[in-house]
Amino acid sequence: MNVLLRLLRLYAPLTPWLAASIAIGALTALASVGLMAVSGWFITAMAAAGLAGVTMNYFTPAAIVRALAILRTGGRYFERLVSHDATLRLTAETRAFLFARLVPLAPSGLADARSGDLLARLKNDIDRVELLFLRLVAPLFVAAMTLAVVALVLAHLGAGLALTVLAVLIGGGLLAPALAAHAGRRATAAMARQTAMLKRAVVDDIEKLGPLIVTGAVTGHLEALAAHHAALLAAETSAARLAATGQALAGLSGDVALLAVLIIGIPLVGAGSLAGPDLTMAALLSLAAAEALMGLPGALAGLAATIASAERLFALIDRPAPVSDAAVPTPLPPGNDLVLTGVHLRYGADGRDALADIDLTIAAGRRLAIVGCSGAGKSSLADLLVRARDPSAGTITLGGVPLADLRLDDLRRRVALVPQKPHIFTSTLGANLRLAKPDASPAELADALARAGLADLVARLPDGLDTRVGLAGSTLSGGEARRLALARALLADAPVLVLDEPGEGLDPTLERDVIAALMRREPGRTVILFTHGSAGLADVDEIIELADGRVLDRRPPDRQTSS
Amino acid sequence: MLDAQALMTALGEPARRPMRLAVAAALGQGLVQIAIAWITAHTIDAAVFKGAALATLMPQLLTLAALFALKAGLAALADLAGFAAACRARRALFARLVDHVVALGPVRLAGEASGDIATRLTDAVAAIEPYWRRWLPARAAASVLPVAILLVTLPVDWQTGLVFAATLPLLPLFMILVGRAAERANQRQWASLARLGGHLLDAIEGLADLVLNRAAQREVAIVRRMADDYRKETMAVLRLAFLSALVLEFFATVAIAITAVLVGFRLMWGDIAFADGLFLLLLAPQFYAPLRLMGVERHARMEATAAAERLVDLLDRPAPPANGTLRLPAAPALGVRFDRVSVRYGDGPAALADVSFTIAPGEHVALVGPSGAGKSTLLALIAGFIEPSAGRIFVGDQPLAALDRRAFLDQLTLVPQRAAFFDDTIAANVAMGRSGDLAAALVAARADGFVRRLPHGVDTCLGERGLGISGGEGQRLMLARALFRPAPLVLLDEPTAHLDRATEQDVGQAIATMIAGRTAITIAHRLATVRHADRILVLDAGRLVESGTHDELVARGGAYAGLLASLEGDRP
Repeated sequence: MNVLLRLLRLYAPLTPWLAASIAIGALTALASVGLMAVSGWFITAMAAAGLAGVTMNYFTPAAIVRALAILRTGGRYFERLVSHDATLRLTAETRAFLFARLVPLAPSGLADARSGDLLARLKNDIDRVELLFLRLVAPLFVAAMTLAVVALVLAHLGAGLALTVLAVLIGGGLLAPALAAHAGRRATAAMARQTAMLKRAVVDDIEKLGPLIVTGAVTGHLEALAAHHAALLAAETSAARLAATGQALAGLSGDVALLAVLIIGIPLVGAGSLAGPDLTMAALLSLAAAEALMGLPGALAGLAATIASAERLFALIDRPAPVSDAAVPTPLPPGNDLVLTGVHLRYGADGRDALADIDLTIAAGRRLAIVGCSGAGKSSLADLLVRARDPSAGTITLGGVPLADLRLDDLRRRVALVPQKPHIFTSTLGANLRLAKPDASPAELADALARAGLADLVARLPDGLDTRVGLAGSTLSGGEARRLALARALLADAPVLVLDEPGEGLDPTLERDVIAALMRREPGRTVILFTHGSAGLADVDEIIELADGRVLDRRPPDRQTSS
Repeated sequence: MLDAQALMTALGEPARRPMRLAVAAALGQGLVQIAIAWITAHTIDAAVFKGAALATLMPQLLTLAALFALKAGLAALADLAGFAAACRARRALFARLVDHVVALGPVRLAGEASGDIATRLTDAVAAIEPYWRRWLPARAAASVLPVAILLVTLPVDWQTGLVFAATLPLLPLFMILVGRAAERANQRQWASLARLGGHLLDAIEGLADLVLNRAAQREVAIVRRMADDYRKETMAVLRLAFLSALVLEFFATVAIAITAVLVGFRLMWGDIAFADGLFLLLLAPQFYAPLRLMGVERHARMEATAAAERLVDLLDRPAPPANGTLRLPAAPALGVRFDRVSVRYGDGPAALADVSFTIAPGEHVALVGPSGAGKSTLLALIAGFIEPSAGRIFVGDQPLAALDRRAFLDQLTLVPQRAAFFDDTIAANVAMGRSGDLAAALVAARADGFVRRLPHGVDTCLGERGLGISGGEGQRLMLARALFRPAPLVLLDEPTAHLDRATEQDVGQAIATMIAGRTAITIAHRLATVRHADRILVLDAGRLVESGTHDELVARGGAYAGLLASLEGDRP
């Protein structure tokens, strides 16, 4: 329930839209119920008048019938428009809210959540949460208001009649579907789980289709996919059974209410305490009122899934941020010296020590290579320099100020990291490049491309920088993607440039050229090169060798080149 | 060309039997409704105008109760049978799509986010459900029940029957007119929804890069803007889609009002019996209800059709021609021959142009050339992920296109450039469902050391991106996968990238052992690989520019010599 309340709080900015949608909905429902009830009363009264050979005032009821007809027709159209518009506004609100709340968790706080899983969950969960208003909140309000008015009208004819009809409609139209939904919670939860699993399995298999086909594992995986799909359908079947029962009971509620009106009303008519036209009216009123309840069973059946979705979404955005801005950030200092003192890093509680006892001073303008075998802690150290994580112990300062005291954006303006696996966005080359500097001039773009060794590639493309790079950069080779990320970093022109394995996936000529271009940055600009290779090592001021998370050796470059 | 309707019709085949049941139940429900209206009208008439007591009316009331129960049962049955039909259609569609995706293979699918394809295979397949569960029963009810009600109405009162009959042909007409426009808009909406979902995934996947580039806050605004654009597009669709409902609503409402007023006056004049009048009033909404429902479900059908169209779009992409049947005899090594092979992706420049060469069984060939030269395309051709646009490829002296694909793949090992793991254990990721010696493969790939140090050894689970292991470790596992069952033809794509110097030498030896006596084609970036090759093929811009041994090519002083000079400058 807390989850629902928290979700409803997201609605606050859109209250006027939502209130308008509910008001129009209730009005329309009442017009619909009223149309049948007044029509029933009217023809009975007219028949009675005809039999008695008298005339009656037929202008008023006929006019009411016409007015209700117009209200019902127009109301239903506008109610649908307004409620859908309100829902889509909620969608935009919710998506932006969720995405904004994910931002502080990146880069390292989301590392465990696999993208396919994240997508499957997020998309489904968001979709479902977004429909809560349209499917449940609005129909519930409309039903409650309609029932209240119907009960008030019936109360004029007899308290027993009103109470019985109300009890039948609430029992059949609301309680029975609610019970069915409650019984179906497990099926719905299973459905959500199966959908996510299926989607994850499909993403997983498509991303690695090549190895699957070549190794022949594809047959087994296809069978597994079919099994996943069958499991999803089985879960849906259980849910559908309960939903169908709830829906049938809701449909039955109007009929039972009609029956109740007849059983209670017929003796009253015989006794003369209930007018004939009023019996017809009460019967049709009760029958039509059930229509206002027809949307509820489906909505209630989906409620458990919606709550589960909301819980997952909130659990995700409630994760503690791995790093956060200082409460009172210190302004950026003038200097760019990086000093690491007694730095340790350990992942999780029982993980390996990724870094230990790192004491390092990187004066502004130094060209530094940090070398080591895979697993020596290079990427971990690179992460610390841009506060992708914070050290478990020890401090890192930039220009004398601890990194944790700086605003994250400020720090990353000073220290730019080209990660080992850069993400290329499904967009144009230019848009990917300009990520780091949206207002970059064409000359700046061209310069960054040239230094990253991409100028030739872009020149060859008919659309140049406007070439779409396909989804997640898939039309670029690994080396091209890496060079694009390099160009991005060069464009940002941060005083400290951290490169995590910049040579990977490049052919040797390119690797050498690119690294040489990086090393030629203007004086005062720091370059920290994390690498396992040898390219560019001749041009650095110092080589630091890492092994098992510790500094093993520091040496000038000449010794490396002779090995 | 397949169209969405044809796809739906084809899928209807397995769904036929439950569908018949669903339609029958929906129709039965409507007919029960007519009986209910008749009995209700006569019961009220008896009570109000004939002074009948409750006890006298009990048989009628009990019949009503029974009919109510029957109606509810039929409603539930119609829904469940429709659902069962949808399940069968979905199962058939899913199987067909998955097979097609596999037939298309990784290279043809490149350029599309796996998330987007996954959305099609899951959400779009699920989205066809309303077509069976809701649209078809609704359509059947709408085509039968109004006519049935009309047939009942006419003998009771021809004037009311006339009101019904007059509006009947107008309804489908209006619905078609409004529906067409809405359908077109609806297709745009689907594309927009996929874009919205794809964009969100892309942004979340790249969140680390966004944050490090201080672009995340901008992206939040973009996420909001895209959702807002989606709202505007969707509302444009809905304004139209709801119009068809408005038309129906209008007719239904007006008919109820006219019936009430007409019947009322004729009752006063004594032209019609009250029971008949009330029966007609009760039938009026029933007459339009199936059409109204169809109007509502029309939207369901449009969504289902639009989803199907996105699937048709995928199914329509030509997959490679039918599987060959030839099987190569078992051999320790396989020769490969390219005969004037060209490849062109879409309208782009040729990725390979008129390439011919012959690789003898057991030969070790290195492919070199700048990025974009066509090296990966060449390997993709041999692996069968794409077909040549022109020319022919022979493996073991047989045309590749004529080979039984599954059998041929057993004779092929591929070591890709990027490590890719399934969400499974190291053991499963290496074995990939094949039987073999896991420990030996790990040792051969020099991966045994770090695997032993992991908390659960070979039973350690790997994440999607090789969570918890370094790039070099991942690459060694990829080698272990290849070494698990080495085949007579080995394709390697930069196998030593991502490895540090010591490991590179280690792995280099492992590869040398693996390819000894086998045919190996390697995309080479490292001098050592090139030197050890029997022959080097130099590609540039899709053309084979040089071919020969290291020494020959060096002596020639051409493209390779240029490349080599820079290679050699790199190493002392």
